[in-house]
Amino acid sequence: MSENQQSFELNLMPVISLLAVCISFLLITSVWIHIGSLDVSQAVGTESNNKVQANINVTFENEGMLFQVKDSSLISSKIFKIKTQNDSIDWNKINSYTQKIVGKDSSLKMALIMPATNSKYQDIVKLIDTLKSNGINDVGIAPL
Amino acid sequence: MENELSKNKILTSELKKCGVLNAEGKVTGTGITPSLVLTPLVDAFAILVIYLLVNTSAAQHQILIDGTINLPIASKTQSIDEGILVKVEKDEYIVENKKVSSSQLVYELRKLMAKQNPDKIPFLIVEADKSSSFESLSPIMVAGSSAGFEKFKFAVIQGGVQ
Repeated sequence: MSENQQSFELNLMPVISLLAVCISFLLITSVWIHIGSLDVSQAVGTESNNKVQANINVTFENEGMLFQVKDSSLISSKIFKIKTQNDSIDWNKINSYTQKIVGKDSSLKMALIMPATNSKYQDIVKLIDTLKSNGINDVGIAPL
Repeated sequence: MENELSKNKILTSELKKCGVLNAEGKVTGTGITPSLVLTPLVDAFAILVIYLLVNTSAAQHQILIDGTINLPIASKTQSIDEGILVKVEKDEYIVENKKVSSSQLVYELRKLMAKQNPDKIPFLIVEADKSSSFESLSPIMVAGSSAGFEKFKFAVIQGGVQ
């Protein structure tokens, strides 16, 4: 080996220690549950633009939910009822119905939810989520 | 044949060839310790740190959930921007960390609304337990509308399937 050839080694242990401390700190302090929000509007008493738009009304009842499409030229305003079975709501049925009506009338972007006094917040959120998943983004809730 | 090859390989390995030159000028094959290559470990650690840093900065929001409220889960969510937070805890309302009754809700929200920029009306963020009934949520919506809030945000946990 000639005198000019020199090799040196960088001591990486402090770097590893520092990174290990950083990772531990970040793992402890990081948030694993992400909180989001569902945007809704108060459907009664707010300003209205006089334009008539196709919308779907969903009414919570003790025995289930009533769906009625209004102001649509493509869908009849016949009431569609989804009954609860053993206090549980068939969300697949609601999802497929929403998909069907949105498929028939693509201008359907509004929904009005009329919950009952004993309607669970979880069910209301699930309904809003189902409607939004099918493209009905403008959701309003009627207060009691 | 295969054994011979592997035998040769072991015999001619770099580690075996290494040795220590002693004072007499003879090379001894003992006392050699292989050094651990730490660079990939540092790389992996650096990637982890960057990932965690990015994730931590993206998850900043003003809502802190404690054990008392179980938020519902939804998939089609938006981010929580700035807004006035109203919590529903056991039929009690907490507006910006201040406990108020349902009759005081309108007054409290109007007071907060008066402090806001009229060009930029904030959202009213509702944080309630998933098992709570609409009876306890409705006063917030009525009071919020009366105070001038146009849009409401229901705080939920982002998730796929409920």
